[in-house]
Amino acid sequence: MKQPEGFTARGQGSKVMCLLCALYGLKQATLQWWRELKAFMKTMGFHQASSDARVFIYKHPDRRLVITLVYVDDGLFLGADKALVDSKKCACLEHWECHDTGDVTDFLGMKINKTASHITIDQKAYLKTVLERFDMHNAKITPTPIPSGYVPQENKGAVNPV
Amino acid sequence: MLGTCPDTAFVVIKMLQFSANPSQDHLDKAMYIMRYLIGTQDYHMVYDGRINEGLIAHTDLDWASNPIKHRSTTGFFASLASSIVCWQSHLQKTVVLSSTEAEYMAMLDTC
Repeated sequence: MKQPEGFTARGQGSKVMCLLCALYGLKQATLQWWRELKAFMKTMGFHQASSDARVFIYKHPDRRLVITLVYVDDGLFLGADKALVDSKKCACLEHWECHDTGDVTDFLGMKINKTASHITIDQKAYLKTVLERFDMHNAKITPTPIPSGYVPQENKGAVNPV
Repeated sequence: MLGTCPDTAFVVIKMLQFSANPSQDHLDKAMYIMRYLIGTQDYHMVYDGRINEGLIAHTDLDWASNPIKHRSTTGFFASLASSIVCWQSHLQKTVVLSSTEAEYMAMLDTC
């Protein structure tokens, strides 16, 4: 990493520093966290899915599966065998400072409801916060996502400064 | 909202293509999508485990939908347990010469 402003070593301004420990909020922190997580999942016997990097799969010798979904610092453990899932989850809980919220009802702003026959997923609560941010909860509803026959045109004007 | 609203996937991607330099018209259409979402906010994904149809995938395309880049748009979804588990709408990577060519490229994107 670059030498921080005001802490440049005299006469060695062009040199870079070697990062020994990633700190919260650093530019490098995300990659370091990801490497750490991947290494830990590997030691637990999970392997990463090739189609989606956030999905880790653990295959037990007797064909039982545990599928783990990770989104930065939120994780979801899925599997048909509850005991096996719990054992993997406990290993995670011991390794990192985190807590178990039990059966999933909420994941990344999506509400997950389970009934006897089916599972439903909705984002109504999230939509409400967005509508409030734009002060739109009383807006008139439209029947289609976009007017029919609408062809968007390129903006020929200059890019607006933010 | 893309997480649970596959019905808006196409328009959201369409409007995103102009996000580098949006005009007032594009912003108005983004609001139009929001108003559509208000109308459909009670809709949700329902997965029924009793329906044992297996994985079914559908694909379609909008031929030469982008007059600026001369490319087509692929749309596909895969359904499992009576509801959609995976969907996408995106601009194809290459310019195609016929709609047949666009069709098999859409199919390849789905696989």
